[in-house]
Amino acid sequence: MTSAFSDPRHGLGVGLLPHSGAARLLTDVVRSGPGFVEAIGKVGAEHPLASGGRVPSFLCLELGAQAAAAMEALDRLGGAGEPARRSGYLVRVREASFIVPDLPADTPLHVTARLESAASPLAIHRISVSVEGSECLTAVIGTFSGTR
Amino acid sequence: MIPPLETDLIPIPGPSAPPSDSWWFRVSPQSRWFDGHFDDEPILPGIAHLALALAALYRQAGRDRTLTALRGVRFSRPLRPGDEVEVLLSEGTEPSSVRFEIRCQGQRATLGLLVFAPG
Repeated sequence: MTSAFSDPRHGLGVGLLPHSGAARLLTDVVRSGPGFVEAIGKVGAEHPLASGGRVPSFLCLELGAQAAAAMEALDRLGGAGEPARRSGYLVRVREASFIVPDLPADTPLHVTARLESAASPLAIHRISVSVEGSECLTAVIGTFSGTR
Repeated sequence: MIPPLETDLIPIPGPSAPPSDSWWFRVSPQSRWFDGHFDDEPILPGIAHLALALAALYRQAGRDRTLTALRGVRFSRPLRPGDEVEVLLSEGTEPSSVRFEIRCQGQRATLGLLVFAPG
């Protein structure tokens, strides 16, 4: 595991996401290692699901999927001969628990994603999202990485 | 918490007198959901499918409910700008739960279980 301050690949991990504009919720990778990523994200008040400065907690599933996609992208940077793939398709939510119903918009969200299993192009990740130190979501999600 | 969605996911009448557990929407081609998702191939994010299911439930029940969990959600078909979708709701297998299915052009797009706080 490495820190953000010693690994310039982390910015690249976010940059490799196919999401842009309001759809890109992930802002920074804090730490990463094989099958693990810790990152920061934010949902803007302009998001379609934002209302009165709040956003529903289930929106953080997308943040978790983007963290998992960044992790996959970083892992692939170390591999050779791997074809370019588009990461970040959320294809399954095996289970998810929302500890609070909604969250403040424009507030840093802390997200972790751990790889549970993979059979390319599908992968299963356990994700957790917290805000101001309080966990607000845990989930097991499936993502798909398609060849470009 | 179900924010206003009508500018992005537009309720429309079904092709025939619908049963009370079937709700139709059109995905607005101008929807903000497509901003950056993705630039060369716009598709509706998975969480917007959940928003569709919750919007249908809101129209059925006439009130907001607190979502506490999801189980067994599968996204099997992408939804694109202009797609018309049917959201089917039925009683779930757990207390305070609702099973939902989203269909588009005769194909299942999404399936899953929404679990709510009691009451």
